[in-house]
Amino acid sequence: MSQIIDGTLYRSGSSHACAAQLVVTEHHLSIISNGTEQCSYNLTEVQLSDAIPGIATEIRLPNGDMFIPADKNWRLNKQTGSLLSHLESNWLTVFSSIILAPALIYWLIMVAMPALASKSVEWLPESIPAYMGEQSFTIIDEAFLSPSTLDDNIKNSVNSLFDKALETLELNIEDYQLLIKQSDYFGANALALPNGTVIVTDGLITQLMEFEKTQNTATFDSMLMAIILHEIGHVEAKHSLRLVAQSLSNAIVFALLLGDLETVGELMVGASSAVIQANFSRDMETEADNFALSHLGKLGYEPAAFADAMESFNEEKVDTAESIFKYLSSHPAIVERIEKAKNFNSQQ
Amino acid sequence: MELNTTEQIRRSQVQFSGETGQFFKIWIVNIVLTILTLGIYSAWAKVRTHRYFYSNTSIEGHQFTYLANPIQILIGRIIAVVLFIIYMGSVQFVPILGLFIMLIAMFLMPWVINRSMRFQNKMTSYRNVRFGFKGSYGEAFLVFIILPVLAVFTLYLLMPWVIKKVNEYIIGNTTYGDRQIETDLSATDYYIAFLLVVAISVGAMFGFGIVIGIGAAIFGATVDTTNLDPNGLSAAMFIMGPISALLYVGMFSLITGIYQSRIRAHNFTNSKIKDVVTFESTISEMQYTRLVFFNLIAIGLSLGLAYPWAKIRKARYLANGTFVEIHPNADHIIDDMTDEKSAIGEEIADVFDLDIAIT
Repeated sequence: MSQIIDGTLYRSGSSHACAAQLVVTEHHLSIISNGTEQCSYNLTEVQLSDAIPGIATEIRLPNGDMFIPADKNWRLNKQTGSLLSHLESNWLTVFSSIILAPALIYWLIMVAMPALASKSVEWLPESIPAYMGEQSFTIIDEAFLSPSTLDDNIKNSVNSLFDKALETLELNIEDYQLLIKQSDYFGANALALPNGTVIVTDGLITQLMEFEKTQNTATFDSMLMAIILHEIGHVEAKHSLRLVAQSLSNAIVFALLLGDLETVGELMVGASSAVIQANFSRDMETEADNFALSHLGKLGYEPAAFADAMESFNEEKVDTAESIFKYLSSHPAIVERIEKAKNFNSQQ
Repeated sequence: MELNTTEQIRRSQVQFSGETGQFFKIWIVNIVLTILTLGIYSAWAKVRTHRYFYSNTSIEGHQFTYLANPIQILIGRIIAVVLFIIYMGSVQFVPILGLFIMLIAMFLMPWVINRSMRFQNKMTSYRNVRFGFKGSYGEAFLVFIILPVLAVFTLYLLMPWVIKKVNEYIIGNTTYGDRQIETDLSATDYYIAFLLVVAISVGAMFGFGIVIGIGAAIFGATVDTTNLDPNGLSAAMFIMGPISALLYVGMFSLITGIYQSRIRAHNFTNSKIKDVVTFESTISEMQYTRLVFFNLIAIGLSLGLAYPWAKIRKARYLANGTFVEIHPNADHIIDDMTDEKSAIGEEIADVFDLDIAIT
């Protein structure tokens, strides 16, 4: 059995082309042009391009010539890429792919990558978060912080609260450092750096002290402790490292999958990765909240102290938006956090 | 099928025979396989996609061929990912290192660009003759580093001229077999195209201003700064968001359409291979703007699913808007790279498959 295929023969080493026929038998292949046989080869000697639906097979001969059949669908048995080509032309695999693709992308970004990121963070040597913390502290300190203007007694009491927290939770004192700083940029706030540096602003301390006066139940100590524990929770769970690892892995996933998308595709990817990033950071805030809530008891405070601390913010900032903004925000809504702290109390 | 007997110059339109349905299937299966293989298959996906487009593009019945081997591309991607992790990691952990890396990258960039141009061109063949790239490091350093820096110091007034130099460098160093493309571009046409782009951008800014003004007028009443009503604000977002997105896409399409069709036409008319081929681009500014606009809208509304449709449509439009005049000599180009064939697999430096586009 032999088949004869019409096509074009491209000579090696020049742009010369001529009409020719390919004759394929069980083990051999020969080229006929101008009515005479030009050459003949064993099938194992010739190189066939991978089968792709809709494009002709390119047949490369050992002498550098190339033959392209006129029939785009002509394939030799056992041509490589045939299975892929089959998958790519079968509507069943295509329909399952349409469903699988979004599901897999979701799984990859929301489940697999975060898991991988938090696992890989465990393997990093201690010197990395230490160095990272120092570096970011230098920048933050330069740009946004100035020395505290509070009384020494207040500072001392805040420091002793912090020491008490470390001691009770059996954490290494060497790993942590509390700094009280004045900052117009951060206002009333507290932040944790990956090397265990916890910064509490003057603004936060005064805000809590003011709030204590208007309330009869909430004490300054309990509220500040709730916030300190929240920040310790960030450090203990290595959140900043996880955030870096996740943004890194997401960038790679997006680049590989959607590498050759054009501008609007890239814009969409950028926007969705920002949403995903905010999502992660929200999850981490929730984790830190839970850390604070579950450890307040050990220190002799009620989890409700966390709700009080949050409520002290509630008056100045309106954060009740139950809207699309929720997905863009890096912190959970304050109302939700207060509700949770109160419910945490009743669960115990 | 007599192919090369006429001894006259032949005018021919570039043909594209790819089909949306067929490419959609290849594309979606490739995405799933890429995820299932944790990205490894992406190299095969790239080769299959490129081959689909190259092989479906033909002049005078002869198709283009894409020759890259997925393994080469895979190695290139692994190197790229590793470099990316090192870069991101070091910048995150030691921000100052970023500066050093930028400096090194500046000196490396011309070399990388040359390599990747060479790779792209060498992996392309037509009638069994390969394209090539002859750019030198010195020239690349001049057009990609020194001139752009110079342009910054002239408040970007030199930028159109610099872009012209870049395009001249890329086109003029392209070879087909033993022949080299000759190109002689005029800065005037680049300045005109840039001025149009600036004019459109300024116009669009006014457009944005008006839309935001109207938005503020309509929703301003419900939004009181001391008592922010989140529902009023999100309603505003829901209506104003799509309108500004539409305006943005419109502006982007108009800029792309006008700039690219003009520059393309100019580059094609003023480039040739002596006694072999001349080029002509017949892309219309408004048709191309419309194409880009609806492509972007379709991709956005379908959450990406219309991507294959858009890509095929664009390839067909660009191919059909390209005419070549072929001299009889075109049938006798010598492929001076036949001897190198065996060494290609080993050339590790050829793994750079960055896409550098000229328009």
